[in-house]
Amino acid sequence: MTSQFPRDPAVSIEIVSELNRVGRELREAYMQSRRDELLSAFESYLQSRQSISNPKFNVVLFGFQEAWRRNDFDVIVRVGDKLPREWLLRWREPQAFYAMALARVGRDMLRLA
Amino acid sequence: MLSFRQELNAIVRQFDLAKIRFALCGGLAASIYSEPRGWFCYDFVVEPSNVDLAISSLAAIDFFEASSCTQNQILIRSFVKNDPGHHENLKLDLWIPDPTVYSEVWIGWNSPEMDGQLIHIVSEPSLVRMGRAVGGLKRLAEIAGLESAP
Repeated sequence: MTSQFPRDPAVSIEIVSELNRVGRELREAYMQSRRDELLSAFESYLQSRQSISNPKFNVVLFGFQEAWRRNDFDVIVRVGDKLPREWLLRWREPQAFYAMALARVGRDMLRLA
Repeated sequence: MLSFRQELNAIVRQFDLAKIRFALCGGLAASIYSEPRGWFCYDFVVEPSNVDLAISSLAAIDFFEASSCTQNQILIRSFVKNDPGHHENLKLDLWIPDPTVYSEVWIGWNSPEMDGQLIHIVSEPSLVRMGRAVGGLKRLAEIAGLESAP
């Protein structure tokens, strides 16, 4: 397998950045193609009265993205409050949406500390 | 500098023209199902019957074979394309899983569109199974990420 890293750090950064952009773009296209399914699952998270024990990454991220587009920060906070803390700490993108939504609704970020 | 995106499009176009059945696997595929991580290699799964055609298609866009190895009934043939401007190589692995052992690899693909082309991606369970079979620290980290983001 060809696993060695590029020798030049500047080239490494450039390649990783481009790869990440391509990965994110493909992920966005994938999530859009499953939009209804993801939003339906997100709605079930929103309506759940219990904590979400095994959240699906793409469901949470897509739901947060859509809610953010609508400026519906309360939805992000309500679902984020039910996510396991370890899960939120692991996944930086959903965590960022949750943290920013907490700030928008005037709550502190103690839960993530 | 060679563009990863342009090269990916060129590879997909070549494989489509040659009517090769292929899908992305490895790190780039893992990033569809969770957060992108740093990686430096394209990984494609192809059927054994398409390997020669795939190698010819890659040679046509200046990817040349560098090495090969087998892990748990998955043959991996590695290719490089030199970037003369930076003295670096773009790297590509062709994964050729034994079809009697990994028959599920060929079902349940997702196919998002990028730049007007469909990019086929193996299913999440297949990605995890093949990644675990191939191993390696980075690969296992990807799998851990996938399994905690099901």
